[in-house]
Amino acid sequence: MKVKTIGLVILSVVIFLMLPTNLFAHGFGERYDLPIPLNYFVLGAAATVALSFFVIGFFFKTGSGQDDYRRINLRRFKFFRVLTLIFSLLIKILAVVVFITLMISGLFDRSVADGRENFALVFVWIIWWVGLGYVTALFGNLWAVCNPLQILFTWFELIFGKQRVPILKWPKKLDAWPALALFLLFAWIENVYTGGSNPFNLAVLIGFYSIITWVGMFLFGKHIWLKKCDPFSVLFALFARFSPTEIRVIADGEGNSICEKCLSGCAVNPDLPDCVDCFECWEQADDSMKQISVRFWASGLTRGERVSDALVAFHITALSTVTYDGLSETPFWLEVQNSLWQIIDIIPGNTAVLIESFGTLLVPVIFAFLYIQICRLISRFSSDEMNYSDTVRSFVFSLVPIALAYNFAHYLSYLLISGQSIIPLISDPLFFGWDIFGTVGYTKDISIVDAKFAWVVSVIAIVLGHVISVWVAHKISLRRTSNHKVAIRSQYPMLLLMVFYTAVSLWIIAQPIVE
Amino acid sequence: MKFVAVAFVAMIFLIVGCGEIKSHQNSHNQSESDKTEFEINISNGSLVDGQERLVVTKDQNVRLIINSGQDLVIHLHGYDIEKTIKANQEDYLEFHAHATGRFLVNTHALLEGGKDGHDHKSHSSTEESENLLMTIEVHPK
Repeated sequence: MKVKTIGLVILSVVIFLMLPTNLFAHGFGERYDLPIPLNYFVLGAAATVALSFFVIGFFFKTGSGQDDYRRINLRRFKFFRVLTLIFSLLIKILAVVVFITLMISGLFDRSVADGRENFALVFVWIIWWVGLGYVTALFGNLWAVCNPLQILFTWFELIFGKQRVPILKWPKKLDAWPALALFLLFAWIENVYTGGSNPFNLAVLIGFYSIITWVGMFLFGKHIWLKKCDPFSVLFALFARFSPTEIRVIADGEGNSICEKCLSGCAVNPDLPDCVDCFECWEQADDSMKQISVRFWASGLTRGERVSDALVAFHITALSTVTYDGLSETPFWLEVQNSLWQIIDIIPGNTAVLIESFGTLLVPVIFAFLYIQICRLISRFSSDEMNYSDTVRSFVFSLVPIALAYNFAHYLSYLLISGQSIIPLISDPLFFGWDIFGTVGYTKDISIVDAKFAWVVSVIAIVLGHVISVWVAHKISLRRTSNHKVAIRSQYPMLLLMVFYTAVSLWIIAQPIVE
Repeated sequence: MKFVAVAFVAMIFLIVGCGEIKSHQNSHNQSESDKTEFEINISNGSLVDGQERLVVTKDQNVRLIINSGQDLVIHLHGYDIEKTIKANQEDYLEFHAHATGRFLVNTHALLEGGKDGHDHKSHSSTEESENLLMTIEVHPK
């Protein structure tokens, strides 16, 4: 009875906090982007098509899909091992300090009274949500090192002892579906819920999320929780597959993979017994088997791993949410809202919120439907050398470069302009009159990014993302088919999807932003 | 052969696109002016006369000539310029368009005692007190 009462109270508080006041969503902060001109759009689209055929027709005449990609193991150098230890310790301390600061800043907000912006809002919505995505894709999975909740839990384990076996066993059928559910909730908070731009509400939401995470880690085990239930660990791990760095546990002398002992369920690839980017395996492995390597960007997407249905659904949702983020600001979406208004208005509740919520759920469903149909065609075009199920589970990674490129283009100006708000705040985050780094007086420079520069970079990024996606899909198909000709033929449907996805990305950044 | 054909067609688009960019640049070089003026008339915080979307070129000096039926505060976002406008008195909001982008112009009521009813720094939860008047787009040269 007590548990139910407490649960009802918590639910009521959450619902109360979620009651929207008006529809100023999309996280936080202002955007000053100009839509790209039509000629840039035409150029980008033309380059997309031309380069796609060029890449397929001329670059990959031969090649086997069974080779692992080239990499350099930096961990063999003692200097590097010492450097990573120091860096890891410093970043962990900084992460915890930042976490505590933003919680205090959110719960005891003084930004309105002082006429300044709030540290928690700026840090969470701009520096962390946007900036960390960039850092992860371009450099490596920093979140795996600096996640403050994981760090604090690890310190707790160091003090009170680590459990050898989790208290509860993670239900196998549950897989990573909770991570998907929580990600959808976050997407709703970002795109629909207005309270996310209120510092106190944000701090309370982070507080709830922290408690849930710590309890989950305690009951099911740290790594299992992070892989199955923590949406941000799963998302940043997906981005990190594109990055040029990895951690790896090599197979033993007899070719046995450490993944066989992994409780959090690494995807085992019999062709590639080494374990890449699993932190549970990393913690368990002998030092001599550990590697930290640099590799070419996007190589990590080509390993040909088959992920579970839950992770396919998660990845599709994450990729489509990035697209919806921009789509929801276009005149087209405004037209959709207007046409749905009278139908949705009869449902109790805020009509605008209901429509936006509907969009947040509908876009991933449409995306998933398209992706699944394309996978059916790929299987057919490969003369069934790739079965439909394997295709769905393998090719989802090939869409990541397009999504990352669009994300890069969409948020570039926002990060560089609105992100400057953090500069004065780091010197006095709690408005105590400090000036730690001498930057309190800094004022934002809105001319730091010229529109023409943003247009050129955006179009190049999206076209490049497309080309990389085509390359990744081709590498994956080479692993799955018997010869080069079958691999190319099987890629025509995916190429169609990629051209469409890239064209949509270009179209979105060519649309005027509607308020 | 078909790959070459498709690539050739795409190259045609590329050439056409490049031509468009060059002509776009030329038209901007020919239309430079020292100051650009726009007249806007406001009633009850909304635009009654004037363009809802103004387009200017980078480095132009822009002057908005404002007439309002009520006392209000007009706020140009991005540039973060605010001007208090008295009822039925012509006034100006001027700025040098040094930064490209799309900037909202809002109005909000002037409270008693001359204080404005808007937290212009936070941009967090007080947008509901602002009324969107127009947008100013500063395009690159």
